[in-house]
Order: sequence, then C-alpha cells, then structure tokens
Amino acid sequence: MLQTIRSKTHGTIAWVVIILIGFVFAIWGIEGYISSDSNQIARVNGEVITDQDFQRTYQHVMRQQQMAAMMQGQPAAVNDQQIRDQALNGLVNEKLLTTVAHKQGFAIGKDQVDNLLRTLPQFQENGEYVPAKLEAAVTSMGYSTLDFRQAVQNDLMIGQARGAIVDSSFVLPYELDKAIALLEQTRDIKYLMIPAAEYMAEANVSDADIRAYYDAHSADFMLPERMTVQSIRVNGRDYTIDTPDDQTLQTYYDAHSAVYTEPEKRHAMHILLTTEKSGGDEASLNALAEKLMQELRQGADFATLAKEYSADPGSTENGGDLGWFGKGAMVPEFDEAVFKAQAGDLVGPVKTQFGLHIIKVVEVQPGQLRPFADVKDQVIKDWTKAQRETRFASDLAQLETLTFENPDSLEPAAKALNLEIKESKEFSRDNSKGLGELNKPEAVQAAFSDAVFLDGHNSAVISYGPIDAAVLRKLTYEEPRLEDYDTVKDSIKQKLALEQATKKAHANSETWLAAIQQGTAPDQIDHGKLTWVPAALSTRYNMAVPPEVLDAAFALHVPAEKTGNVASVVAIGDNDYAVVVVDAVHDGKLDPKFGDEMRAEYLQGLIMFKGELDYQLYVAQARKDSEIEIKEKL
Amino acid sequence: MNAIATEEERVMMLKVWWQRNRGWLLGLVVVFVVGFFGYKYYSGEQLKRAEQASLLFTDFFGAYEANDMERANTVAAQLQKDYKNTPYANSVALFFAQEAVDQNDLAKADEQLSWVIHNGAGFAKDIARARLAQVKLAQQQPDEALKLVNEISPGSYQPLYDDIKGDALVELKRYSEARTAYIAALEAYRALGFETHLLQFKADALPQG
Repeated sequence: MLQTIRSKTHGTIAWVVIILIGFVFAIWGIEGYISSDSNQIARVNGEVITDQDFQRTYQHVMRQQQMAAMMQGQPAAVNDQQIRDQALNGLVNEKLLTTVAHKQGFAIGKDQVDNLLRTLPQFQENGEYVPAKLEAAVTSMGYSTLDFRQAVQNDLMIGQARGAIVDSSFVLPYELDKAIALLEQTRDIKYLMIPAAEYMAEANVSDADIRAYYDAHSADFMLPERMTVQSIRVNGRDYTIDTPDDQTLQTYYDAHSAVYTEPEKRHAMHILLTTEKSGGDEASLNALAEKLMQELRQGADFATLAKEYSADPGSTENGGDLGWFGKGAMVPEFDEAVFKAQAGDLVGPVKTQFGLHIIKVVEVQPGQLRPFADVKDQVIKDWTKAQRETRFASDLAQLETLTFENPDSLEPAAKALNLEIKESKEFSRDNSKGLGELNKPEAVQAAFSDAVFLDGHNSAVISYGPIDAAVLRKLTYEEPRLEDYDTVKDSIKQKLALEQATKKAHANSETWLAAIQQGTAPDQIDHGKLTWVPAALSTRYNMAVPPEVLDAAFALHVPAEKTGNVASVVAIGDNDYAVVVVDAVHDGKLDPKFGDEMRAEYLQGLIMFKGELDYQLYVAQARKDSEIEIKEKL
Repeated sequence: MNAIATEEERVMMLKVWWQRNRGWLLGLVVVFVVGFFGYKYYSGEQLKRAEQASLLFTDFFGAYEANDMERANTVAAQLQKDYKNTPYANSVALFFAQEAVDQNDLAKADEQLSWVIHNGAGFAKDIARARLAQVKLAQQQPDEALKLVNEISPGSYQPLYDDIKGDALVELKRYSEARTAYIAALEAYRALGFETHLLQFKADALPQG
C-alpha cells in the first residue's frame, strides 16, 4: 500500500508527511529523539544537568575540600555526601540563576565572552591572546572549549543580574542615623549577682529527705550488669626461638633467593612531545615524532634533540636523562616499553597521559643476588619470623579446636598449649576497663554474646594481631543492682542542698525585683553581703558584663519619659540569678575623634548588607519561579 | 468506504481526498512555516538586541565605576531610549538613583526609580518600588512610602517591604503595627538563613503598646 502511494501520487502526500516530520524536528530539535533519560540527574526550568556535569563539579569541589582539609591537617574531615550535595546544589543554582536571568532579558553575546577571554592574562603570551593557551587550560579542567565558553557566558549573565541589585544599593541618611543610634546605643546599668553558693550554708537537708530522694530516683542509682572472665592467650612474640646454625640459614637463603636479590634497574633518556609545546595537532605531533626517530636512527645526538623538543620539565635540562630507575617507577606504558627493550635500543613513540615519548635505553643492570654473608642478619630475622608464624599457626589451630570441642572449660587448651588461665577484673558493657590487656570492643562484644554470657561457653577466638589471639569465658556475673544508700548519701545531700540554695537565690531575686519595681531604690534593699555592680555607658558589646546580664539589660524596654525603675531578673547558668536595672538609655553616637571615618565605614557596611539581602530575596524569588526536578538521590 | 475496494480504487479515493482537502492542508502548512520562522526570527532579533544592550551596559558600568558621568550619561540615554524593554535600561536607572542619593538629590532619585516602576519589568520593578519608598521616607512622606509598599504583593521581596513598612509606621506613630511588620521581616529573613539583628533592635526600641 505505502509503495503504491509513493509511486502513484507523484510523492505529493509523502511530501506533506515529510514536511510535517521535518517540522517536528525543527521545532523540538533532534536531541528530543536521541537523548536518553539515564544520563540526566536533574532538570532546572527545562535545562538538563547531566551526569558528566555533576562528576566534573564533584571532582572539582572534592579537590578543593581535600586541599583545604590538608592545609588544616585533617585529611579525614572530607565528607563525601556533603560534597555531593554541595556539587549538586551549586549546579542547580547556576542553572537556575542563568535561566531566570535569561528570562529577565539579560543576554551575553559571543563577542562579549571573547572580549573577556582576551583580557585575561592566563591566556596571553607577551600581551597577546593565544587561543591554544585557553584550550590547554580548559582541557585540563575537564571542559570542552564550548562548555567553558558557555560557563563563562552564564557567569557573566548571573553577574549582571547580581550587580544590578547589589552594586546599585544605597542607604539614606535617616537609615544610617537610625542604625548608628541603635547599634551603638549605650545603657547605664547596674546588676546584683545572686549566686546559689551564697545560701548553701543555710540549706537544711535531713536524712529523711535524702532517703526519700534515693527511693524516688532509684533508676539513677542503678549499677549496670557486670562480669569477670577467664582467658587464655597465645602470643607469637612470647616464643623463645634459638638462633639456628649456618646450615639451616643457608638452606633458607637458597630457598628464598628472590627476596635477597637486588631488582633490575635501567638507565634511560627520553624526549616528551606534547601538542601544548609544539602548538600543532595530534597528527602533526606524530609526524614530528617520526621525524625525530629518523634523525636519531641516523645518529643525531639524543641529548641535543631532547633539549630542543622535550616538554618534560624535570629532565630536559639534562638532555632528557632520567637516571637509573626500577620497574614500576614510571607510568605503565613507559615502564613496559623500557623494560622490554635491550641496552642501546631506541624505543617509541610511546603514548602516555603526558604525551608522546621517544625513549633511549642507555644501560641495563640485571637483578643481582646479594651474597649470603652480606644479608645474614636479615636472613636470621626472616627465618625467626617464619618460625614464629608457623608455630603460631599450629597453636592457633589447636586453640580453636580445643576450646570449641570443650566449650565448658579452658583447661584442656591451656594444658595442651602450656598457657596460664588469667582472670579479669569486673567490667560492664559501657565501662570495660576491667578487661585489662584484653580490652577491645570485639572482646566486650564476645563476653556479652549469647554463647558466653547466657550459655556459659567459651568464646570464639578473638584476634589481637597477626600472631596474637585469645579465648575467654564467663567467670562471674552480677545482675544490675541499686547502689548502696551509704555510698551515694553524700552526693544526694549535696545535690539537695544546692537545689534549696538555688530556690532561695531565685526567690530573693524575685522579691528584690518586685521591691525595685515598686520604687524602692536598689541600694536600699537588704541583700546581705551581695553588692551592686555598676556599668555606666555600657555598649551592646561590653565584655566586662556577663552576656546574660547584658542581653537582659538591652532587651528591657525603657520609655522615653522614664518614671520609676526599669529592671528584670535573669538566670545565669543553672543555679545563679541576677537582678538587672537600667538607669538610662543613650542613643548611639560615633566617637567624634573618628566620627567621619567611622560613619563612612558604617555606611559602606550597611550598603553591602542591604545589597546582599536584596540579592538573596532575588535568588529566593528565582527559586520560587523555577521548576526544579532532581532525578535521584546522589 | 467500501470494504472490498481494490488497491486502484483506494488510490483513487486518496487522490480525491487530496484534491478536496489540499487547499486548507497546504494553507495550514504555510501558516505553520511562516509562524515558526517568524517566531524564530523575532526571538533571534530580540536576543541580538539584548546582546547589544548588554555590551552597551558593560560600557556604561565601566564609565560609572570610573566616575566618568559624561560618558555614562550618553550611553545611558541610548539604553533608555533604544533598549527601553531590556533589564539594562532598568539597571541604569537603579544606578542613577544610587548616584542621586549619593549627591543628596532625592528628587532625581525619585524620578529614576519612578521611571523603573512605570517602564520596567521583573525584579527591577519590585526593587525600585522598595527603594522609592525609602526615598519617600527620607523626604518625610511616610504616607506615600506606606502606600507604595502596601500597593502590591511582591512575592519573595516581602521582608524588604515589611522592613520599610515598619519604618513608615514608626513615623506615623503606629507602633504596634510597626512591631508586627519588623518581626515579620525578621522571621522571613531568618527562614532564608539570615540573622538581621538590626531588625530585632528596631522592634525592641519601639515604645510599648
């Protein structure tokens, strides 16, 4: 049927259909058909954030954080999830602010991006803009040039919107005056500290009170369940191993000759070719490599060519000489090429992450077995270590078998292995110090495991190192119990006394406050040995006054026409109180000595703060206006 | 349609259908094509204009920062005349308002900000309104200021408006309303992660009741 249409209608209908299909492509763009969803991790106002975008930003943030953590000497402080969140947030914010700025009508053309790139010294040589430098820098950051230009464009656009708000911010004189009056406000205050300690002597705590408290709070005086254990331990370091005769050592040396062989070393030179240095593309770089190989085969001096062409900063000075090195010291491709060749061979070009290498292997020093006499001390050490390990392996096997086959006693294993059964001191889950030299989380866990704790069996083997292991079993067990009244009596008494004293201090503070508020002059109040501390002209930042007092003093409302006393009570810590009195409030003024300068600084600070707040509101609005869709939790 | 129509007949029918309908179908295609390319052309032109305005604005900002007001004025005039509906024309007015406040020329600041409110769009309009209200306060016209910030509902910019509303209400001695406005602003900023002590101090300093 379709074939018929095509042949008999001279393509008219097909033409219409094709136009319609073509139309769809033109409107939605071809990528609508070929991009797969799996690569997207977020969508912001229809713009896609791909996994590549994320990885790039993630790596970037990670490097920054690692660097910062290293500087502070805390390399472990880097939190991966936090960095993932930060990277994703950054990307979403960038997309969000770009799309919103675009919608507002901000636009950055290609010319403007160029104008900026041209002026950056990083991309210049002798004051001239060199596109190759830009390309190299951009590639090393993991961007394509196109991506990078897009990023610059976005940055400029976001910056324009931000600048329009932040940089145009202003503060009017009345605002500045008000701000200074409030921020630099001073108050004449005085305060009476009423510490609970003052009333400790008056406290009256009877034995009945203590007993009642003890009975009512028995949960606070519970001792946790505790146990003691028996244990046996095999430690390979305790074995006595006699120094063997030379015959034994010689046999060991022969059997392990590889260990006593100095590895093979090679001496090589190289020329590193990079597009960065040559300024050309891949193909021309290959051609250059071939040309140099040719010249070298015809007897050209390697060092001379290295000095002229090599881009390796470390070796170029020495004519490309890398000195002696062992296997594995260089990047794998280079390493393999060098160690496959013979002395005097010219190898290459070899491609590595750095570029193209032309290599000359100068000398080869094969692996050399060191004479027995030279390494005898090392052989003794190695032999002894091997002895310990063998013996430990067999002891461990016995320990495992005997403690498992006799779950109700450590005796058989102790006897067979000639070990002493030791007893621990008392310990609990939370405080396991009593385990002594066996103390480690695995041991506590084993001791309180069902098999040991409930069934009374031997524990499994607990490892304390490569040649160190122990087994334990329950010796005694004590259930949780209430601490004896006599042991805790004194501390309860102290606690109750402090409660009484605190109450007294609080009651006094409230009584005196009431009197002051009714018009009694503060110094007319009978407050025993306590004294009023004056702090006239106190600022909001007065370090001499306790912060709680200062906050209370500045929170007090003082009418413009003050009649009577203005005061309040504030708690300081858990047990102390203070009565705070404000005598007068003075509008803030700048010290006339630095008045103009300070005023200008205040103005600058306020303008910046206001501009930043305005911008944050813009960001909040942008967020509200945007469709943000995060595909998955990263 | 006849269920047993032959291939020939079906082709005939299609041909007839096409003869009958091609007029409006082709018309539709033409409308689509013209509309699509027209839109493409229009948005391309708009973008080009915005990019030109952007370059001019960069020029303006350089001059403004360097205090070369003569050059800044020339470029600004062009932006406000030829690129009136771009955000760059608005930005220029915001900067001129700042300059006017610096020079203590409140009438001029008023004029620039009013221009944005009447000619601008988007964020600039909301920001300009708040800033104009502050200029009104500085001109001792708290009623005008209050009217400006009460007239519209500015979305996320509400705390900015509430702060100014508080200032205006203090001038009008409506203290308890002022306190409500300050506290609303304080809490909105706090929800965004900003602690604004000054707002707290302003609220604390109000006469009771």
